[in-house]
Amino acid sequence: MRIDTKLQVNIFLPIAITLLILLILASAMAGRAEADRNNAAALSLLSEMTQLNQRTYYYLLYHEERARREWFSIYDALAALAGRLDLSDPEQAAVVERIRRNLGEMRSIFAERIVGEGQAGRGSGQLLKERQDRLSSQLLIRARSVTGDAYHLYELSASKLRRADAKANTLILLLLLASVLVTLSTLFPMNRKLSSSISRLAAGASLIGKGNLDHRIGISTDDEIGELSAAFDRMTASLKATTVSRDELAAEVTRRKRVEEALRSSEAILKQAGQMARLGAWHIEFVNELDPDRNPLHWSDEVYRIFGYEPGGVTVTNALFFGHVHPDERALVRSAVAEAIAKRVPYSVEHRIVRTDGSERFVLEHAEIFFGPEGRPARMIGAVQDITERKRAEQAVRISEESYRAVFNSSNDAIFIHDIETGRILDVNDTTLRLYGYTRDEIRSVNVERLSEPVSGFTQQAALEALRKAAAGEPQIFEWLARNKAGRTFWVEVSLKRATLGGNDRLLAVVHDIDERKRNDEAFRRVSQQNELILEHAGEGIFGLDLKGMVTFVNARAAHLLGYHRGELMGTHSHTTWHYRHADGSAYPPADCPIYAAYKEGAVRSGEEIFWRKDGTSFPVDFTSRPLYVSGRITGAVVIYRDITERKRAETELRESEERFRVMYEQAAIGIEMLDLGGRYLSGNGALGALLGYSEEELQQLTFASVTDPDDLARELPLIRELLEGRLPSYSIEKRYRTRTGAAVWVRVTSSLARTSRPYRISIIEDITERKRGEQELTRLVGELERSNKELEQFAYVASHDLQEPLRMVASYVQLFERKYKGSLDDKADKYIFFAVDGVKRMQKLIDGLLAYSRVSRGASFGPVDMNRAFGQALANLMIAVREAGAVVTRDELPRVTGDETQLAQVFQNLIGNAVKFRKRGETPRVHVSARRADGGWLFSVADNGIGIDPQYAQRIFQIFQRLHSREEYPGTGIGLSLCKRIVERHGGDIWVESEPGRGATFTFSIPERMP
Amino acid sequence: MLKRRRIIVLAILAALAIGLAAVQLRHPDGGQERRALAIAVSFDPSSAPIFVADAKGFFRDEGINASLLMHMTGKAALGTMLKGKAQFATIADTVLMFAGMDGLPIRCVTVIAESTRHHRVIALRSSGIVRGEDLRGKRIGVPARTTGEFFLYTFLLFRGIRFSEVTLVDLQPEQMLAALEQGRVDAVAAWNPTAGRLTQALTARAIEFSDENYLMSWNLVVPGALTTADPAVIRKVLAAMRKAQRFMEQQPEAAVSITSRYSGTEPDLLRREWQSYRFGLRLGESLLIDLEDQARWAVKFYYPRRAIPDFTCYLYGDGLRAVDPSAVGIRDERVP
Repeated sequence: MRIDTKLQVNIFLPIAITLLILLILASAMAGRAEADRNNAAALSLLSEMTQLNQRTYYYLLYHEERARREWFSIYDALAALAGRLDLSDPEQAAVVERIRRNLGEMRSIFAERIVGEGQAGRGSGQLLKERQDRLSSQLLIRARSVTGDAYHLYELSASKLRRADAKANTLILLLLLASVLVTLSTLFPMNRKLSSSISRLAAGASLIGKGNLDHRIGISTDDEIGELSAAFDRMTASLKATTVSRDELAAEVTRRKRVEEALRSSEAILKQAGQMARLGAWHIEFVNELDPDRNPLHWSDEVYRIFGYEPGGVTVTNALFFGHVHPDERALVRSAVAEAIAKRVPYSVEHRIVRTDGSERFVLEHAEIFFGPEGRPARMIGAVQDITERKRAEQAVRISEESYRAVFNSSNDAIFIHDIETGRILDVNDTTLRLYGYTRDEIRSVNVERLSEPVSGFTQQAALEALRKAAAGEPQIFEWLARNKAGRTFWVEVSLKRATLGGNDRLLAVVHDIDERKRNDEAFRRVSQQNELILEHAGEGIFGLDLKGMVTFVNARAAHLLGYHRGELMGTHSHTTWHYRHADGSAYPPADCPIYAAYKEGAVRSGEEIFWRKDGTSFPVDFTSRPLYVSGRITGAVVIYRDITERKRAETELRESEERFRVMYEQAAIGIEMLDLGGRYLSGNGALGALLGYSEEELQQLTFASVTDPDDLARELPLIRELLEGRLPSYSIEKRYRTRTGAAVWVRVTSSLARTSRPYRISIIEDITERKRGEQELTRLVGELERSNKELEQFAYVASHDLQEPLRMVASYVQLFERKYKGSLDDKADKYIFFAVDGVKRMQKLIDGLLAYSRVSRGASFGPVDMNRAFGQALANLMIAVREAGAVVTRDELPRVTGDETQLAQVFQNLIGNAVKFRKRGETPRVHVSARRADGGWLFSVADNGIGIDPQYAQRIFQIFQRLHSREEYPGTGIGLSLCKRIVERHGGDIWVESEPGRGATFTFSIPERMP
Repeated sequence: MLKRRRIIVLAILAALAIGLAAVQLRHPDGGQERRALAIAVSFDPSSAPIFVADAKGFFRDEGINASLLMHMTGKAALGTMLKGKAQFATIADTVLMFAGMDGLPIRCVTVIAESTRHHRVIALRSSGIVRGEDLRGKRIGVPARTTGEFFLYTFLLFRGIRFSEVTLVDLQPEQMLAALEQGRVDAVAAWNPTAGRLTQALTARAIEFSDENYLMSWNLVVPGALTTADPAVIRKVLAAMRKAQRFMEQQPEAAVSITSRYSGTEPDLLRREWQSYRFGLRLGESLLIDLEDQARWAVKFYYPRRAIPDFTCYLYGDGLRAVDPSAVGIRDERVP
């Protein structure tokens, strides 16, 4: 762009931006005015809806004609207002649409309910009442929905209004900022660019003037300065074309000198290196085609030394060289030279030479052949190295290796060679390959785990552990369960030790196959162990007796039952140790012994006997004695016996128990009945007969169903079914029996099933007629009380809700009034506004308190409550008040109770809050919460050092709305302590205060451990 | 030339930095890993704001990686949430009421939608049913303890029929068509999309009834513990749903299309029904009155002599209050 055009743009741009700002401002103001209108309309809607709410409640309570007319009147106004609302914002429009639809439905529900009122007197009954209740609920749901939506709409429009203001302000600010930025961003770069270009132009001209013809100004802008710069650069280039350079020659001379110096130094190093490596250089010129042996050969000093000459001590020719080549290998060397020339490949050969002193050496030669322009070989340059020492070492290793391999493979045991670091298999002998069935290559690629049975203890990890120990110098010998390639498992004995092989540290594992031996040992051990275990763990005592009655075997159980050690019994005669007397103490001759009869008569004998312990006591046993045959001949007897003391005792107890039951059954003061599974009486005791007026014989003709009240029978039958099916062990039921005279008696029946060979049902019958009468009376009274309480709560709840609605209206309008007119009227008006706002706030607090009070009995269900946590919650809520008062609130460790955590926290909050509020002037308020156990529960105390309470008011302070101080002195609603009392009572506890004026107060409340 | 190139590079870098900052402002969680959560949703079109939030990426914008677990009923969705497999669930007011009566540890964070035409009674003409009053003495299938049952109760009440005068058959939505075709029931009480599908499948064999005496509310609930453990995630989900709500108001046709795809409702059917839903996130006293009203019904049929709980314990307003303060009309919801 030309410079004059830029200057014009810089003048017109700010003017255009200013016009744009004015345009946007006008548009924003228009938007704000619309938002203001919508906000006012939404407020009117909210106001009308509040009135409709009140009328709805009023009508639902009193059903008055006047209330109905008013309802329709307010409704029509509200519907018209909602119909007029035309909002462009989709969110607000959606809310309005919802309001309209709910309003429409409200009207039809209200009308339908009025129709229902008309039918009420015509005996439509319970169904109509339910229907009216449903309509009332639906009406209230929609009324609340519309109220909520109206409030939402009001807030949305208010928020839009605020956004419109903020948007206008932001836009103006942004445009102003943009204007400044645009001006700066055009003017500043233009000025800077101009001054920079001119400076560059001046500096360039100065340099060129001093003779620097390589310099270019290089300004490429499309304005006047760019054109001037291009003209300067063209002129400088023309001048430059006539000038030459002169310094290049001197630079080349210096470079070559440096190269020569480097070459000399490199040559000296090479010579030294050759001597150290016994490496010499040679070259030969192929000048004599007729006699190649006469071709001149040139050796470095080291080549002379390798062949046994002093450097330069002889004239070398090809013939001389071949004279030193070992006669057996001359043909090889010549052939290598000929091949290299023919194939034009590098010459390389390893051969022996004979030195001047006659000794043999090994040399390695490499050479390159260079060919002339006609393709003939012109020159050959090579190197020769003495490798005698290396060759000798290789030969020694080869011999050693072959010997070792022969020994290695001839071993009958498998041998593994492992890497000492990784445990990897490096080599194995032929026996290993046969034993494991792998090829040599395969076995090198497997680990020890593949060669082992995959069971615990034979893992790669265990193998590595053994390898590690051996590697540490600790030889290992152990048995291992191996597996070959085909999957066959077999036992081996592994001997593992560290060894140095071929100069390397290795681990050598010698594996000996012990499978057969191992399997034989194992089979024998298993059979022996099994037999031993069977005898040892038999529940019965077992003896082996020979033909003389001497003990030849005794198991642990037999010895234990008799109180002997096994060793004490072996070889003894049974009739001298444990079978020598009858139960009455008389001697037991062996001739009468039924145990001996087994081997005497060759028959199995069994029965009950008395055995005698070592300590002289006896016990009854149940025994079996069998003859013991060896090769078809009786060699003794096996006696198996069992202690039957417990069985004998149980039999005695059963007899006694039956006797006791019979007496109890006949003499019991409560009824007992026994019924077969069909419900027929098997028997009934005297008490039952007296209760029902039947004799036992008469009862046996009846079923329990025939004497049970039909209403109660339906309840009992499912229980009986569950009992008979075994799903219930027993059941209890309270029911009515009908006596012989038809009178009802209340009884508590506890029934269970006797699972004998012929099962029957047995029941205990308790006469509870008197108790039942008392309960019915109590239930009636409690019901009355609950209903009365519920009605009161419901009243408080609904009243608080209803109070909230007009109050929200008053609050909205008063706050609107305060926002618009505060400061615009006189001081008095400001004061009145303050009173109104303050009054509304207090009223809201009062209603909130009342709502909380009425909701106490609707609280959450009881659960475990950590009172430390409840205290923490309360303190968190009081944080600001506590901080402002500088109060110190402390607590002991508090217990866990069963209750409603939120409500208990509320109790702490109210009591601690009061303690902080009613503090003494000039003294740091101190509050301490403690707990102690009391009968069946806990006592919690909140003690303070505040102003205290006169004991005469100790009861009054817990009544709702009762205050001891003026609101100006101590603000509050008079609900806090009554709320505490209600909560504590809901928990089954009590609350009281101990205090004196000026000496602080201690509020104590109790919470029972278990709820009543 | 070099200087000019440097200026261009600097300008590009500055533009990139501004762009990144803008993205960061738009997606405050962009730099962090997204919070993964599951929402158990019923196929019911009332869940449209959740479908739209998912389809339009509003959850992602709020730094949430939400996965929707679809269920046939809100009751089933609640079951999934209670098993700990989801952090949110959509359920109807009746299911919320039963949860309150049973003391389940859940809290409602917002009402999503309301509808009076959501439920239908679909009856077989072959059973001699031509008017609502003809249902007396019939077998009617309905999922127990759902809005369907409460709707049926109301429907019958307004036709002078006691609940005891019909035989109720506990029937899940997916079993209804077979039960009607096999004659196991004479009628069913169903809701969309099942109601629409039944009408289409049975064509002239069926007759459909509805009335507007029950305003059903559709709600989003969370496990009670979430309100203390992670209230931020509730705010984020509600913020995403509010964006979805705005989208639905501005582009209703696109919202219908998305909801049709997610709920499996025929687009034409859904388009016809769309106006009967009153979408809008809010939490007000109308829900409390609704729950208490239904609880009185439940006490009569399911919980004899049981006290009605304080349902404010089952509401949680702080989430929605943070997103849209004036949408919350309750003030003293309690910790249960």
